[in-house]
Amino acid sequence: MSPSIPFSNIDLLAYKTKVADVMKVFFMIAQPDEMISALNNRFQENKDCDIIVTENEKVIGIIDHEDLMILQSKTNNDWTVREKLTPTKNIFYTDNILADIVNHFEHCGTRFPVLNRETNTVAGTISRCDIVMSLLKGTLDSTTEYSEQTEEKDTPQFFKNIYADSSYLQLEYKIESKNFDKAGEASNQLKKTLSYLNMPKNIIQRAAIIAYETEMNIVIYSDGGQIVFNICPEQIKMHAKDVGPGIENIDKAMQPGYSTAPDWVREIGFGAGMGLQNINQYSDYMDLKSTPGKGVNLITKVKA
Amino acid sequence: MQLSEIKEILKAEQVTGKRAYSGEIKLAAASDLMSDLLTNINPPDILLTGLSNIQVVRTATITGIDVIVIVRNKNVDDKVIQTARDEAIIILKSKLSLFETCGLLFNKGVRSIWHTTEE
Repeated sequence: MSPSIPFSNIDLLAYKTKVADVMKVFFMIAQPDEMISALNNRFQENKDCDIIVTENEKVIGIIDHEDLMILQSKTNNDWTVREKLTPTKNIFYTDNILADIVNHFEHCGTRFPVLNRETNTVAGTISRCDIVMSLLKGTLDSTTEYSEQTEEKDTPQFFKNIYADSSYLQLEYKIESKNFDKAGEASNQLKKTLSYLNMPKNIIQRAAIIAYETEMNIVIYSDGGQIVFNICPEQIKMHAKDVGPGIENIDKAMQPGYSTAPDWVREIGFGAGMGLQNINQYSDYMDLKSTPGKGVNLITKVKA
Repeated sequence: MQLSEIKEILKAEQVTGKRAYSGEIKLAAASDLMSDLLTNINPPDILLTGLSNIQVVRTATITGIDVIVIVRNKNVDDKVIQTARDEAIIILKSKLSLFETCGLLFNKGVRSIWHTTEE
């Protein structure tokens, strides 16, 4: 029986799909010393519950819903949960991908508990069957790379259905000074957006590099700023403004290798003195202005 | 070169999970300076570096690098690994030095993205 979703590569799905999208969310938490007969399915509508056994707030084992039903049907016998659980050797998180767990099914059991990484609480359970059922129901994500790419690449998609004398898309990003965890996020988001808009690859690459160098400069040298992108099919214009010490000598700063970066910046891989040079190289227009003590104003254009 | 060959030669461990990579790795860049990687518009297939912070992954995403080798057995944060996985970037960890890893790959025919065609 061929699946109704038009994918041809199960690996792709296994690497793209998160456990959270496939797992079963009907479960019950039980203590090891509870009696099997006392465990009552708290969900209506025939939703079978798996039992997750915790001790001292740590997951120690699992009782699959089918095993539970069989045990509870044996009314002349009773056991503690501890006696009948399958010890848990593997724990997975909602943000794991299916590829992480598929190999474990061979050796380590048929159902695993799934935890939420931030709160460390149980979020659900997952088994091989859940994955197969998701596949059959077509609930696994199958679009993206395998969707038809038959639309003409001439006009970026977004603008094709907009009727106006001229139109552009404006994206604004606020950049936080000295936040190196977030540094680079804005340019990555820009790159993703440009890909989604079907802009030509060459433009995307150049605009992304310019955005990244600019973003890093704002994070490293200024007290904060913002970058605004104006996108239309023919060009991407970037306007970056920041507040801070500014650039003392713009001519010097544009020289490759010249850098005012302190040591700690070099230790994270920046401060080579190539940033402004790279921006100049990849842009079709660059206008850099600064008032020392106030901030920096940079406008660049990347043309199709 | 294939990723599996590279893992063997560099005795490297793939820390971003079991993601397979079937592409041919021909061009490399080795640098601890992220700005250097932004000077060439064509990304290398593989990046060798001693830098193990999140900016390596961000730079790789911006430039389109698929595989990163972190040398000298540097510790790689969980957050860095997770971000790499989200962006489908493979991180290998090697105990060897940057110099050795470069030499080993060069011996097997991998060349630099800045390599000029005149021999």
